Amino acid sequence: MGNPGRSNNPEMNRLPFRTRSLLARLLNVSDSSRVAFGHNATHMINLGIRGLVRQGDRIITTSMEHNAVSRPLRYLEKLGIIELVILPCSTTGLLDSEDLRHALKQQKTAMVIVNHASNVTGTVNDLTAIGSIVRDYDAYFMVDCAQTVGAFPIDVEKDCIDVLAGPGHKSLLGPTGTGFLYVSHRTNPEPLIFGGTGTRSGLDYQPDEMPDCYESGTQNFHGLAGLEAALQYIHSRGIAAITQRKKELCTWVLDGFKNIPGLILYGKTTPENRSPVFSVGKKDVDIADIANALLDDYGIITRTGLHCAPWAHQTAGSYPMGTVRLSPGLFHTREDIDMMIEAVDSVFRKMK
Amino acid sequence: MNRPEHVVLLMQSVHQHMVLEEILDRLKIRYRTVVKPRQLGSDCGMAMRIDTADLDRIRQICEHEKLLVFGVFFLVDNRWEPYLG
Ligand SMILES: Cc1ncc(COP(=O)(O)O)c(C=O)c1O
Repeated sequence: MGNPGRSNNPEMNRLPFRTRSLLARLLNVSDSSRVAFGHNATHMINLGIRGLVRQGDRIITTSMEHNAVSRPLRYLEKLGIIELVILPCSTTGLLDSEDLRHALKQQKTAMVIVNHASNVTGTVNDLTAIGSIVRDYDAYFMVDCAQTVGAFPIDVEKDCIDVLAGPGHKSLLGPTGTGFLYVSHRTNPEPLIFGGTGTRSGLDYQPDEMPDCYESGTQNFHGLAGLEAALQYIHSRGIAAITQRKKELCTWVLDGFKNIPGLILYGKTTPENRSPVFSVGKKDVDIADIANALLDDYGIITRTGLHCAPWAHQTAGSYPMGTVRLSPGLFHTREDIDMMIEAVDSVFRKMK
Repeated sequence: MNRPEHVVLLMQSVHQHMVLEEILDRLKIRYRTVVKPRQLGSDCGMAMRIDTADLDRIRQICEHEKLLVFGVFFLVDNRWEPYLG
């Protein structure tokens, strides 16, 4: 490929442009230059936080955040740069809008950062309601949409979002090594990484133009090509149909799990506003034994432990042991789900 | 001075260049994306060669779409000069 973004092959400039335009359309971003690409959600969350936070800022976040959000915030708190307010969510992971309003009323706040959906409980927060409250108090609204982008509708205008970060490789169905950041016209985060952008090369300083200012160094063109194809698929299937499918998956699994003796499900037991990640456990049983049995006997891959989200497990009541998380995807069929429920049922009956 | 047949348009950013390409494709206005002439800067950016007859219309499109034209140039005696027409 040579250096695709820098050499004289305009097609390689058009590739990120097309991917950017498709993503912008999905999020109702009217100016696609406000969308920048990076390595993953963590990279983009760090850019959003580190680029906007100023000495003395008060930041409000929730008790459901992933380490991708909590660790950068804790670091800035430790350095004495920010005051951090962590709002407790319900055990299912829902943020109470009134708690947020109360916290915003108390003191001038620079930014509110929330998880759209928890990677532990799957609970989807109401961004439109939260966003309008945050806007009332003139704070920046930042959203970690790692668990929802491509699966649930996100509208940066309607939801009053100033900063939105997500990965390309989860529900956007793209390759690993891709992530994105949207920033509204109200915000201009400082770049995290400075260097060659392929533009304004005579300048000693980082150019201001979006998205170049955030995309220094050779970009992941292979990843963006995959993400373009994935976004075309999502647009052709339609986000409403995808959301509906996710709800069906939730309905089938929740229905099946109801009758499994001893199964503890962390999170909502109803399919509305829920993404299909199911954190389960059994009293006095090591989650590793459950996971091993599911893998060895049924070939079902799960993820055990704290899922990089200790705060969320503390909130849900599954800390420090963690859970076994099952996360069926868009392409699983009803038969796959029935087979999964049978497997979980059989494993749970055996574990005493 | 005779009007040159072609001029070269430099946009504010690569992104804006791409937005303009998309619009011109849609409107079937002819252009060619070319490597920015060295004399117009040490930048590794791109430029757009258009028919001079289309310049006014393209300028209007840019204004309407809030795309910033960084400069318009034409070649005289092997030198690139700003085109003021
Ligand atoms: C809620 C949440 N935020 C952030 C991340 C980090 O995403 P990435 O691995 O793309 O950096 C994840 C990934 O698991 C997540 O679930």
